[in-house]
Amino acid sequence: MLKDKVAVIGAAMIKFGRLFDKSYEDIIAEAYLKAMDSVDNGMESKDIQAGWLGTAMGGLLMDRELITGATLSYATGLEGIPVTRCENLCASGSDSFRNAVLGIASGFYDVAIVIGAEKMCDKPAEQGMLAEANKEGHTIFNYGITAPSIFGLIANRHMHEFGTTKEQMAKVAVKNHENGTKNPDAALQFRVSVEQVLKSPFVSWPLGLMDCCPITDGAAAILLCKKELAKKYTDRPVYVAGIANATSSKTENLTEFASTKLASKRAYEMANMGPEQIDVAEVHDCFTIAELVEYEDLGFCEKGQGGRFIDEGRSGLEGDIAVNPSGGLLCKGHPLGATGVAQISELFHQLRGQADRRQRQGARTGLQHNIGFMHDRSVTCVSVLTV
Amino acid sequence: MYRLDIWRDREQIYSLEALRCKECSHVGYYRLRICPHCGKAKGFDKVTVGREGTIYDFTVNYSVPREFERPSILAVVDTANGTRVRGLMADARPEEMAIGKSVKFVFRKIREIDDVPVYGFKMSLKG
Amino acid sequence: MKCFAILLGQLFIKGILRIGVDMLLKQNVGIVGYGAYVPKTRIKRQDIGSSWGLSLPPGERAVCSYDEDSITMAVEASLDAFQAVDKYGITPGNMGGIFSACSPVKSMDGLLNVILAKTIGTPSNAHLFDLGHSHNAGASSWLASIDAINSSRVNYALAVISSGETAAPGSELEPYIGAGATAFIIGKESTLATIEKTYSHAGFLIDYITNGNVIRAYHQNFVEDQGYAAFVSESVTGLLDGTNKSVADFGHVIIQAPNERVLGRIGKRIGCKENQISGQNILQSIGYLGMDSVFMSLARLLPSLSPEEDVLMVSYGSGVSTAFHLKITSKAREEQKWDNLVKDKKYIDYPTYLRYQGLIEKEKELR
Repeated sequence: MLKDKVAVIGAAMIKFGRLFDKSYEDIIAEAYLKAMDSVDNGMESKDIQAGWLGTAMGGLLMDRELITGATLSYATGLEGIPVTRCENLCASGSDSFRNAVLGIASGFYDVAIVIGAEKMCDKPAEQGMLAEANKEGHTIFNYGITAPSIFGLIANRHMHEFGTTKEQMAKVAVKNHENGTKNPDAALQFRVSVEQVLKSPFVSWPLGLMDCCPITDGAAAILLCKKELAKKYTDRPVYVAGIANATSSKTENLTEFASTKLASKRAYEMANMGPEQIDVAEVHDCFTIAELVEYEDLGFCEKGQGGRFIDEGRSGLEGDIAVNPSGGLLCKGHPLGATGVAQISELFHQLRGQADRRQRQGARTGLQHNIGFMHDRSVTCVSVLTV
Repeated sequence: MYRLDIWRDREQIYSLEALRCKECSHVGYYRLRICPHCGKAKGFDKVTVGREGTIYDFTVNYSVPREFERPSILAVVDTANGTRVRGLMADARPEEMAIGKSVKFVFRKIREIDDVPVYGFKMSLKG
Repeated sequence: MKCFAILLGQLFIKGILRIGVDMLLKQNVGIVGYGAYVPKTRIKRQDIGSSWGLSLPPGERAVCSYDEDSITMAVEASLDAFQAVDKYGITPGNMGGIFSACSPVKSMDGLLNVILAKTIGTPSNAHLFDLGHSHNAGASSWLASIDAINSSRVNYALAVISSGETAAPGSELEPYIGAGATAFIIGKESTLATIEKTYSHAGFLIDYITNGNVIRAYHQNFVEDQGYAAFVSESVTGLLDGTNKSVADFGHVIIQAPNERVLGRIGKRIGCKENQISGQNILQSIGYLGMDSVFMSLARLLPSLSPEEDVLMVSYGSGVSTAFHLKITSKAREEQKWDNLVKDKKYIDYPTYLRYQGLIEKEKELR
């Protein structure tokens, strides 16, 4: 079984935000050092045998198409190690993690590092993320499409088919902001009310400003090793029980993500458990509606019942499943490549009881989820971690 | 963005041509070699998207760069022959939009590349 | 006596031959169907005028939206025309030629006619004529269509005329220029009107100067008098010459003029009565349509006309005036009545108008 093969022994995220004084290489280095520090018994850099670097959008955001895996070794001083740079849209970080897990589970490597990093703020938003509308994808068919517009479509259709309300979507923001005030690494550190969310200016109706995650820079890193080696580094490793990636082009139904349903099914099967056994989850709340849809796609509740799930408080810190105790993407922002890795880092701390004021009591199993949805195709990564 | 995209997909953009999979009959508006639904490469029949449809979904998008008219309304439309097409609305105000309304396709300037206009179809509310 | 009889006989035969040749040439060339397009956007003349401290007569103009231009309007008018003739079994596939007269767009890359052909679906071996650089271009497209039909090579021709011109901010013309397009299908057998006769008169004149799609007017009083009025007079005289008709015999007279005041004056000059003249409404509610001026007036008029009525239509542009005598053969479709075409209107203010015309742009954030 997978959980007998791969252990996570160190993890950290840097504080996300508008890090104007830090370059792409700076944030890679910072995440690396912080992750190394998080290893209970310490680790030497020469132990690391392989690296995976998750960065999604070098070109549009940094004018840098060619990043190469060698940037990881350059920024961290890990001279000579094999590195693959992974791109899988919003799932770039978690897919880097998945590849590292495969590298270790296959027996090919004993110790590996995953770093996710993204600089999103160096250009004005109109020429960065918003330029997806006119610089990304097909010249005609993708003209005018931005990430908020895709999820605006999903929100509108979900409201139409299931009666989901903007208030229910707003509650996701309220919950996650509450959690975010307890996470010193989250970019946004303030509470919001349902009224404030509803009154925020439109970004892509029905989504308003507070329905959307902020644009931030960030990086995170994970250290993994084969299970037999874990005790050298820590008495409390966290194991990877299930991991999956699924892609889908059946995206005409704008109320669910086929790739998420597939990937989570595979991860649950691999981990030999179901959603009922998950204590804490870090899911992809790029927009409030996304979290509601994910309750359904990940099997936390029935189809169409996502709004009710949050109405009943079932995803709060003390609910059925503590969803996004870190504050989610809504508070951390979504530096694409860093997000998945930061989610693993949060689960690592949650499952070791180190999450301070946002600790899910008695958490023993965690689920991590990212989805990248662009135009007419999507990719989802899901992993299940246990102690 | 570049013109070759437009030239390659001229049948889709100007003649509003969709492709129906010979194996599973799924109709896709975009040019394909292999059907993404059944995974087979058995060939496609050409069908016209037609110039009318009903709104399946829409969003009013303010998150667009300066070259766009703000807000830009993005709609997903089911056409008469069952193709689901996504495109920009023309002449529509946000308060007029509703799922289920009828639209017709209108010919407009979609964008400019290096100051030269590029044309295609947008959708406009009927009646 | 015998010589006289032979002479008479010869004259008689020649006469018959002449009539015959005339008929052969004419072949009942006429309008088979038509479509028209006017943008929804409007700006009131005074909303322009007040920005420049002017007081203007009431009226408004149609404006291309930010995503429209003469090419998009040409396509829409053509699609409208084919929708109208569909029930007669006439399709784009029947067209032997497209004669398009579209006012210039900012940067044309020669794709105009090809886009039209691809979008409408005309056969790949139809002849494509680009005629689009003066206010005479509309008449040119009709004359070329008629000649093509008369040559017998072509059974149906599509004459598409589209005017998306604008005038410079603060200019005299600015409050009066409109936007719109028409598409007339001309064929061997008319269903709506026969084109009985045409007459063109050309002469040297300076009237408008074009810079892309921005037009600038030369000395307007001169142009009105020595251009519009003089040339229209000439072409009408030429048309009526050799017939026993006068201007009074036409129930409806459509004359090209840049505004309603000038229209009235020219009409009077060629001997029209007030109630014969058509076109004021369009000038006041849509604006001056340059090369499409008289053809849009015709499109507006057709649904209200009955068989056997005669229409005198006279275009003028860039030193050429062409007079057309049309005879209505059947009533145009109720669905094409003018009110349907202009029912959705959206008013904008002057800054929005400047933005739509590309005359002002939002500044880009520096990076």
